[in-house]
Amino acid sequence: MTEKFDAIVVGAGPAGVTAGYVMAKNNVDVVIIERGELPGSKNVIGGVLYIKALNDLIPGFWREAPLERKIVQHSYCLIGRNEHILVSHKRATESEPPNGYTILRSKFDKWYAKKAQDAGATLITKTNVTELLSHAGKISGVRTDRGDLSANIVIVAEGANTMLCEKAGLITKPRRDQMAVAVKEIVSLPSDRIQERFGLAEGEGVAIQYIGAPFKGLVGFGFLYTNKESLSVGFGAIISTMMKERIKPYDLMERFKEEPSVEPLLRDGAVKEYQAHMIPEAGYGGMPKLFSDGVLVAGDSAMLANPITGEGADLAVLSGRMAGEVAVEAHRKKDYTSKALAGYQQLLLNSFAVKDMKKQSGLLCYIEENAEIMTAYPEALNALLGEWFKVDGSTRSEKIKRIRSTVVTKRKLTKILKDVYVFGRKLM
Amino acid sequence: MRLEEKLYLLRHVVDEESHIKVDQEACMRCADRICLDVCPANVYSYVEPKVFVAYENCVECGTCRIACPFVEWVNPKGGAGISYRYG
Repeated sequence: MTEKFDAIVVGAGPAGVTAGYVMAKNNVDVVIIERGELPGSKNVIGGVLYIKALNDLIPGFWREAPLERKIVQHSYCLIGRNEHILVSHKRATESEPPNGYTILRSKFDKWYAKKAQDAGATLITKTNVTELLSHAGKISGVRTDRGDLSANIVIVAEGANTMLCEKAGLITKPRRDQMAVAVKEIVSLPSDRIQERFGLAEGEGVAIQYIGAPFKGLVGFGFLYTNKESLSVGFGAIISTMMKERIKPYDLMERFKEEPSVEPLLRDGAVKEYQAHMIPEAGYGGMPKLFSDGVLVAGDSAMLANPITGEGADLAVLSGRMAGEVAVEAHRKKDYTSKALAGYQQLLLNSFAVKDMKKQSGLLCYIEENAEIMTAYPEALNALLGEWFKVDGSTRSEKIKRIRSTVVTKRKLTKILKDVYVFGRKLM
Repeated sequence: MRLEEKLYLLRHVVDEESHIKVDQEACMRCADRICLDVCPANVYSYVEPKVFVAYENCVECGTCRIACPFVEWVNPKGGAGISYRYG
């Protein structure tokens, strides 16, 4: 006989655990199934959890959760040829609640899963869900490598590898231009060295995004985040562009770490872990069928990630909460039909995050078709500032003339105007 | 730092059965062999006339699954595979 629950959640990442937490709090008998040894064993984050979604659900969670550093400084580093520009924003007085924290997933996910367990959810680890079971056209449970489980509703939060959703016909396998591969290293450094090196007080952290020369030909960018006693450094790039350039991820990683804008920040650090993960970049247009009879899809599986803002984990929490709430309502009414679950999609589409994703849809395609802009602008801006700061006996008007001619060799004026138009329309 | 040294830092629970299958027929005819470049853990290598799969080094990103149509990639058994200590 198969064991029966009210609800099954596949995956103990932030989407699944949030859904499980919400349901358990509302007395729904829910089991969360995780394939890793522990929650977080399989999971990777670039660095930052923006806390709003989770703070709305569990106010003040950031006072007790195992977080790394509160992000007080955001920077963009535009890399040219042997030169770079650093644009930073730092707030001296802290706002409360904070905006975001760096986290390490093995610690954070374990803590968060415990929260759901304390609320009454059952957690099963080391168990791989191999398919969704259906009965009379409705999802009725899951098959795992340790037996079948049945439930009235299944919430799929399986992450970026959407095999279950594909098998169940909820999504077609994402294309190469819809997914990014991200590689990251944990580089350990004593906390006082980190604070000294980045000009931080205890507990404070920075987030740096790198675009330009190291990623020539790619649609991708690098990142560096400060943890308590380590740095998270790496990059993400659209798979089709990595394939076109035939760049090996680990070669690019090494080259990136040698960049003059990166290398001094990593100096004397020891690599503790090397990680790779995919990031869904399909955007609004590539989202799966979010609901069907007896099933909801949340988190990375729902393609909820925003490369512009760096959101991902918080969107997992947001969607997990909505899925959980809709499941609770379905449980109350004893109605798990797709009609009863359709509200989930409505909630999600009305959220700020998905509105932004909708607005910027098509932008990634535009960048992929014009990949040169990923290096042309950083190079042009570097040339501009380099010229501006140089004292070489030429007058300012001579310099401006030179700047103007360098900029247009990087990208034609008509194309610049089009870029401004497209970016403006998609982002503003 | 070499990739081998980085992979050496990782904790894997190795299953005796591979979770990655490749279509050797197709691989032999494949002009692209993108698997050799795209995998962050260098799981794939080609030694005439076969593609070898070092599945025990797989970090489960799934990039090969998206990049190559001849790879059949599934999750390792529950509890097996990569187990990140930091993540």
